[in-house]
Amino acid sequence: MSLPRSLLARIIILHALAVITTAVCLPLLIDRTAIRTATNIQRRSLQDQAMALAGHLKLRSDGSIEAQLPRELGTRYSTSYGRFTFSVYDEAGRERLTMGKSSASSPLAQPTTTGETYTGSLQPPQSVYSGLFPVTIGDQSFMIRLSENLGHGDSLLDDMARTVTWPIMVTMGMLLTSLVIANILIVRWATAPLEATAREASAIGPENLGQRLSTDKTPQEVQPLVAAFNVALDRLEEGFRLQQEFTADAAHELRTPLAVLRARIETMLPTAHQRELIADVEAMTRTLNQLLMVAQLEQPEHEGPRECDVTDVATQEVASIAPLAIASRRTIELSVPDSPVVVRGSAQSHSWAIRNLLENALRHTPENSSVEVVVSADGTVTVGDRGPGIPLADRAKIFQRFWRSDRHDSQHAGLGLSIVHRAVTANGGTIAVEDRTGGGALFRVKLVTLADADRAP
Amino acid sequence: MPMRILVVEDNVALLDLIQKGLRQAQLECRGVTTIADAMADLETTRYAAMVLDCSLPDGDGLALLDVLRRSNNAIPIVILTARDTVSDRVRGLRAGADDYLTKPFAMDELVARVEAALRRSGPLSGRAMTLSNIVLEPAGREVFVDGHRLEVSSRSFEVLEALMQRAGKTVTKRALEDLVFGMKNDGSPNAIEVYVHRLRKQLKDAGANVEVHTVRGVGYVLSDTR
Repeated sequence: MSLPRSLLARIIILHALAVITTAVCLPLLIDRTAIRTATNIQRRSLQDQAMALAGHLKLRSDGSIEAQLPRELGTRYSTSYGRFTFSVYDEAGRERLTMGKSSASSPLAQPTTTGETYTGSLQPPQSVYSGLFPVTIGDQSFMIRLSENLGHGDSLLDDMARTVTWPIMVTMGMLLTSLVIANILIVRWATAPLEATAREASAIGPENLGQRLSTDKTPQEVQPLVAAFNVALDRLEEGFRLQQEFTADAAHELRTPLAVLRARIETMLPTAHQRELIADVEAMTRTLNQLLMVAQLEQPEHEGPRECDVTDVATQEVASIAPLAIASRRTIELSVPDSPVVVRGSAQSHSWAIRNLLENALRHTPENSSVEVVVSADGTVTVGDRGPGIPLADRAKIFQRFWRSDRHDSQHAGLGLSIVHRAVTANGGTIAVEDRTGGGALFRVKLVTLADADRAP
Repeated sequence: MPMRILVVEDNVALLDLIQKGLRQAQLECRGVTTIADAMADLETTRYAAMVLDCSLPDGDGLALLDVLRRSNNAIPIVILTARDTVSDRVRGLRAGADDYLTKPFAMDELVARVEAALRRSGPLSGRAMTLSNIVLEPAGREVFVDGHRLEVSSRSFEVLEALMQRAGKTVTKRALEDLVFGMKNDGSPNAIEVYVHRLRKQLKDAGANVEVHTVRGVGYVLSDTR
């Protein structure tokens, strides 16, 4: 059997075991001790009585024994009192005198003992406790047997030995129980700072990697763990930082040579030869931009607001791509509600999503057709084209990286829709593609509005 | 006094090509590769505008921009950058850049941005603008098509001026509304559409080789149709 993981449960279980063990052992111990102590007292009391008795016994000249007892002793050993019985035996084991309850007396089995011996027990069912004592009366040796009837109303010692255990046990049980409760409270109180630390830890995410767990309130025993956690966060943050630096450096190192290349083509070649080369540079630039988007979408966003007005983002993106659409004899139109639609996610990631959806739509829609972008108040953005649409079989695959409907299309890396997917889902949104009424594909993006976020935090 | 443009770019090949492109557009220029050289040059020479790369060997171009703006130097500055995130753009414009261009860029685009910056706040303000066979004279608020004066209303002129300043780019309807009606925006919702419609007809009737495209729900694009 393995112990549960909860410290509190472990402490309670171990404590309960200790309590049960104590509850079983302690009564036995107390009982034994009480009986032994009572027995010792009983023996001493019998011995004292026997010695006192012996002092009042006289050996007559005819060899008989006479008991010259004072009044109070006589009463004590009277048959009517019935509590004590005493008999005197000679060395041969013959009974020479008996006082008290005669039925309690019997011949001696082994009269030749030199020391005192006791028979009986204070525990039930024994009802008589006897002691056999060697005494000298006159010049002769005798044995006195003194028996006490434990069932007698005045005989309390055995009752006490048997009844003392319970009150002690009850007190003990109450003590142990309150100790368990105290233990639970102590553990709760001692681990409360851990729960506070856990809450702090669970609030740390990619967006606030600079946060560290506070150590001022954590228990000393847990501080090494908290410190190690903070060091792990340091390393994680450093890793993210290096990755971001690399992306920024890569952007710079690749975009500047592309700028040189483009400027060379534009300033050194005759205009007639420029077009195709510039188209190549633009395709390379677009792929580079998309790769950088992919890299940046994989990284946490450190700065900037976590929400944006998607009507604003859509307006900017449509405005920025519209001249390209017009130049390729296509039109693009936007419909937005009158009031802002504030959604979860940065303007940056949503602008990338919408830009790639628009580029995709403009690539597939035929000349003289229109790409329609609709933003609704519930955070839905649809982009519809008049292209061939997406076959059902491909709909699950189009959002994968490097997927292309046409393997021979070297101008496009097949990153666009995967960027859209990543940017949308990273902010809790969903994306699906369907057939557009009247032909073409309709991409439907549902973003999380602040109203949605309030409803299901 | 000739208009001189200071170009700060650490890639020597690109620096040469930018200077070549600006000179082809009749803009005098001088190129340096570091912030320190740029600072030294600005001390001794008056420049009409500056083309400034963001990442330079001795620091961030935006830091130089910041220093200049803090010392109340209002020289028009077009930022070149290899980073194209929204936050970079916002950072650049907040630091006081007049415009912002991401590498790689079309040389025509750079020239147009520099000229636009010069026209907004530099020595070219009030200078005539030309697109295809249209000439627009801001000083006299006159429009000529093939040399013939076109009678346009004051508001149509403002719309055309805005479209020509950003020829080939989308000018949003809201930007036009703000420009024509001011911030109080008391024009009727369709007023801009009416002006554009009228302007489009006038230009067509006058034989202008331009077209005002409507981007429905967004704004307008003025393009050269030659």
